[in-house]
Amino acid sequence: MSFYSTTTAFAAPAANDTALHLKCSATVRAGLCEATIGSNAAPVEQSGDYRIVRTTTAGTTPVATPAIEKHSEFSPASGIGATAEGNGYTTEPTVGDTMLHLPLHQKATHRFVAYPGREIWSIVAANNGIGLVVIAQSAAFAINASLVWME
Amino acid sequence: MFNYGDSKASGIVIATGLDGKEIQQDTHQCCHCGRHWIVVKGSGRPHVFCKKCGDWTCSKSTCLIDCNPIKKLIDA
Repeated sequence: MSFYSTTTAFAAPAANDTALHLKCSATVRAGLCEATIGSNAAPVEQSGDYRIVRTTTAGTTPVATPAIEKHSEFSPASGIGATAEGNGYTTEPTVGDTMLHLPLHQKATHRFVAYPGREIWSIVAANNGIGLVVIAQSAAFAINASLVWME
Repeated sequence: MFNYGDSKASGIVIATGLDGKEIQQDTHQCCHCGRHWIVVKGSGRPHVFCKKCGDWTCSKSTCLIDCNPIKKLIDA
């Protein structure tokens, strides 16, 4: 079992956009340990509403393909299974269950950490995964997001 | 504001403002679907306790009908 992370910048999020997506499969399951959302735009009095969700389809043609960083490895045979995809989908991944709801302020950086054994796991099925979705923002300020997960 | 430290918490949400001040809040996880929610004491939100699992549910209808622990799904 290994830990991985990825990060993305989303310049102009709109409602229902997927900011960051971990695409898993019937043989690859990801357990989300940590999620961070912030904004590197000039501080303003704006807010956003985000959700960590389970996704049930892959979505099509994302603009960004964020690099995945491997943090540690406990099993020599393991490798990166999930695929990280960024924003700008032509067709967004289908949103399934909401796993965490995060209403945030633009000036604050928010970090969610799941305690060991309490990770948010993806469903073991083709094209399922975990996504960080923008529900709405009071203005289209840029956001930066990162996810840490285990496989 | 610090609203964390629950020994049964499943996670934590930490918000850091421009001034460096932190707001930390516990999350609980539904033992059936795995959903996390931020614990807000006194919010009045009902969260039904599953006696089989010995843990909290998110009280979504599908999580109340049957006891299908997420840990069993993961181990399958």
